[in-house]
Amino acid sequence: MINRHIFFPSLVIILSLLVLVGITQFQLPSYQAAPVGAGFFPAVIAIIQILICGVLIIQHKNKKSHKKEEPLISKKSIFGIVYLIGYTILITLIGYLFASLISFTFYLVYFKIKKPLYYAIAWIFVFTIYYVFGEVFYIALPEGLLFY
Amino acid sequence: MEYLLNGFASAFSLAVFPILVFGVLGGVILGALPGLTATMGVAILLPFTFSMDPTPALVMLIGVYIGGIYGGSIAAILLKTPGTPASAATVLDGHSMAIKGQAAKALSIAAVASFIGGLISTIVLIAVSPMLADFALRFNAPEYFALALFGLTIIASVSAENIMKGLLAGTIGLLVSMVGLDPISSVPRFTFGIQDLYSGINIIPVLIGLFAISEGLNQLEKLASNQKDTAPKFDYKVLSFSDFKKILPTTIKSGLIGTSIGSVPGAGADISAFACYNEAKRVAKNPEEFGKGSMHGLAAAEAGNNGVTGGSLVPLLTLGVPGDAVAAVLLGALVVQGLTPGPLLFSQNPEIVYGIFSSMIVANIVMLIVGFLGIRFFCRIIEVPKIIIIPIIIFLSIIGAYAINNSMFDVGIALTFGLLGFILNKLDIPSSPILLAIILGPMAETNLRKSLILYEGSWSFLYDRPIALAFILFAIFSVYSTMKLKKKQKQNSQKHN
Repeated sequence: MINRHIFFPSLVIILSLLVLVGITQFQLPSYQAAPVGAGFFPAVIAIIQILICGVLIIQHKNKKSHKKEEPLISKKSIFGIVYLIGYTILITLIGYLFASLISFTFYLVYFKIKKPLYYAIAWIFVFTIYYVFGEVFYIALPEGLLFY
Repeated sequence: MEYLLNGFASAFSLAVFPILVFGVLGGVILGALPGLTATMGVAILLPFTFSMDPTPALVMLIGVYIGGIYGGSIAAILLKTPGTPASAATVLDGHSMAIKGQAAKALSIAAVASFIGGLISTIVLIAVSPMLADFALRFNAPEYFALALFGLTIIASVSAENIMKGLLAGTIGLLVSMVGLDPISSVPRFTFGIQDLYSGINIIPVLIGLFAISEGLNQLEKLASNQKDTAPKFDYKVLSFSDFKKILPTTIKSGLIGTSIGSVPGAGADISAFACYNEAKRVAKNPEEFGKGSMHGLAAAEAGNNGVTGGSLVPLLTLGVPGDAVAAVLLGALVVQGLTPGPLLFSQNPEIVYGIFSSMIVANIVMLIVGFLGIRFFCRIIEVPKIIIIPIIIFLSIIGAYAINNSMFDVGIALTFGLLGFILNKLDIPSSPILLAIILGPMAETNLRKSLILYEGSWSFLYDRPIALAFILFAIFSVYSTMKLKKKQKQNSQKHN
């Protein structure tokens, strides 16, 4: 398995190189008054970033002791990421109210919560936010593509 | 003086005082909700003031402003979720104190420091506003560039152990800040044809992602690992008098720095909080405690962000130039009321100007009282089991990200940065430099390029303008002293080992 302290700086170096390539594709302005153009700052930053990542890789290589580390994204963290993405997709489809009620309930069921109070708190929270945002502050909540 | 006393009489009148209290309370609640900034709070309540008389209308909005900046610290301390960008620096020590069981103490320090910062700012506003406005008028592109450069050196200070990792985070933030139309030539940069990216990446979803969503993911991972869900133990001990004496010098100094920064148009409470935090750390006897629950760090950040409240009104009232986004909304409120901000406001409507001054003092007092009375209530949040609090953080974060522009695109940005913050946390790379760089990056780039146009390609503006030169020297000194400090810390820890 690739060490996370080597993998991440290497990934950033690749992205910085892509940024440098991307800068060459910038449109030319119709009128250029400035001595430096739109690509100057990003190019400087990308080069500095490559240098920093290089130093970080060398620093890690020179480190005497290497502790055994868990992978960057563990199996345990996958639930959180999937849950978050799932909630966002659901909210896009069916809107805040139903998406939140379903997601909160699913979450409590997933963690095998048996206390009815927790379910009550979850639903009260969802409805309170719905009321406060919508009726008191008139802040729009996601409405959903399928129905409002 | 007579106008000021009349202003106090007006602020305490039955027609105005309840509105002021409502404004402060509303501001605290809005500020505490992630994604809802003080600016948004003032903007949301602005339409309610259209039918009001000028004094109560402005008093209410100022109450929301002051309450909103303080409110941001509550979520920052208790949930590691800054309610507003201004409280991003509060997370560093405030949340560490809450973890140590000192939530009540942290909240009381935040309330007291916010009060002192706000009070100093108001006093300075009353006393020297014309002079400060004159100083701010001397700022041109080179000075703004130097100020931004000085601000960016704070990255070195907030980079926990490895400055390189902090710098890497800073460069990530700088590149993110360059997405959108180039500020000088309007050439699209890194937009990939996506319309939503043309106006750049909004700071609020980034903030929500980096701090709130990544924290939610961290906690979910712990829960999934079957780690026992234990609420941190804490007492209700608030700030003692001896602690108050200890933090007072830092608080006063940060209040003054915050006021100065606030009086410079374009430099807001977020920059001020980090600048004050950096300065407090630089001169601290025990800088190694910063980031691990230092009272001084928390007091500096809070006094610094509230210090801006008065400072940002200096250019607004004296020149008609808003110091930050909230001041811009307040400018709109003044115009709606048929008033023209600027030097004439002092001579034509002194009762309005001094009404604002006195209501700011009263609003700070109300904020302190609300802060202290609310401590027990706020602390209950920590007692709520994590299993319930985690989805609440996630839901509020998603809604907060959406509410800024009613856009699911912003939710996507928040999720992306949430994941990035989660990964960076595992690599011991600090997230705050990304935020700092996104705030300061456009300011640095735009003003550097404007300066180069102004000086026809010459870089001499870096040394032939006194204010710019002073900021550059401050920046060099700041980096030097931070490096020296880190070296000393490393040597000390090696000795202990």
